[in-house]
Amino acid sequence: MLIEIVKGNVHIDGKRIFSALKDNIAEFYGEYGLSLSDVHLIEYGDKYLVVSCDHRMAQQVRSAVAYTDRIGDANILLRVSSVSGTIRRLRMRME
Amino acid sequence: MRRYIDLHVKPNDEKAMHSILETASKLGYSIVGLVVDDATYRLMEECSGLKILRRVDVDAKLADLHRYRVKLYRKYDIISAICRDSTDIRRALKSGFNLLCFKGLPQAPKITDFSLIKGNEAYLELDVCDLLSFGRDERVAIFRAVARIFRYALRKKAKLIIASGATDAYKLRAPLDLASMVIPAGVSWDEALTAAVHNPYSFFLKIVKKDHGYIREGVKVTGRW
Repeated sequence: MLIEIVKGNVHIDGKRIFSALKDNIAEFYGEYGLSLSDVHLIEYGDKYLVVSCDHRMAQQVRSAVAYTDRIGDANILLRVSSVSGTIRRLRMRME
Repeated sequence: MRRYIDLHVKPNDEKAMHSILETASKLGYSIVGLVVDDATYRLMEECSGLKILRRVDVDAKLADLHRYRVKLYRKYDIISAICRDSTDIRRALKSGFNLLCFKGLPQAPKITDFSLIKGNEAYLELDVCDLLSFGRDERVAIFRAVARIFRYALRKKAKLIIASGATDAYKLRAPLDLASMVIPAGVSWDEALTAAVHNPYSFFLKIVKKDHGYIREGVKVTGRW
């Protein structure tokens, strides 16, 4: 899943965004949902994150991304710009 | 190409309006329903490259609701009634509103209201911006209400619309992300997608028909005397 950082008032590290995303999954779907979703941070840059998750939980992970609007005191706007079965295809879409 | 629509955006000031339109364009929207005064909307439309639908929200508790609707009908593309309970929904439908923005969460409308909404070919709109503003404890009740609204709408075949209701750019969401925001309430992906993508588009087509002289399904005003 390719997550784009559309807007943010300060620069936030990709690991912190991923941590907030995991917190949101745990908040909405519990620890069981978090374990089912099997989310992993694959790579990140200034404006994007690549996250892997179970395809059966893709909608739930997408909803957790949509609810991630604040990290600490900073506002952030994320969007899922692409979902693919392979990282290679995601990289092609990024270019 | 699919046209994504966010029917409800209500910026606080002009700076927020520019920011919202710029972000909406980035997120993939082509049409935005903007609560804006008459003078600025044309300028906004030219600057952002988006099609802007002028929208006005009327409180359903106002005394002369029908008169307001008739008065605003020609001036605005979208006239919605802000409803907080069943009484408001009934009053708005009686006054001929076809878009009801529900602001009564965590209370949900009664199931009989959905029959009336379906009978009047109206749409019930939910702003997901409201979901963001609630705290963790309140969200449980909110999600229960949202689940009930979707269940009743499905049972009575009433049409629901999910809009952002954003007051600033950070509260906007991409179209599919907007649909996913009701998933934690237990709503299926198909229902969420219908409410966030398909129903706003069918509502937009109704507005286009209104511009071409159609006043109801199959009834067109060809001349006045």
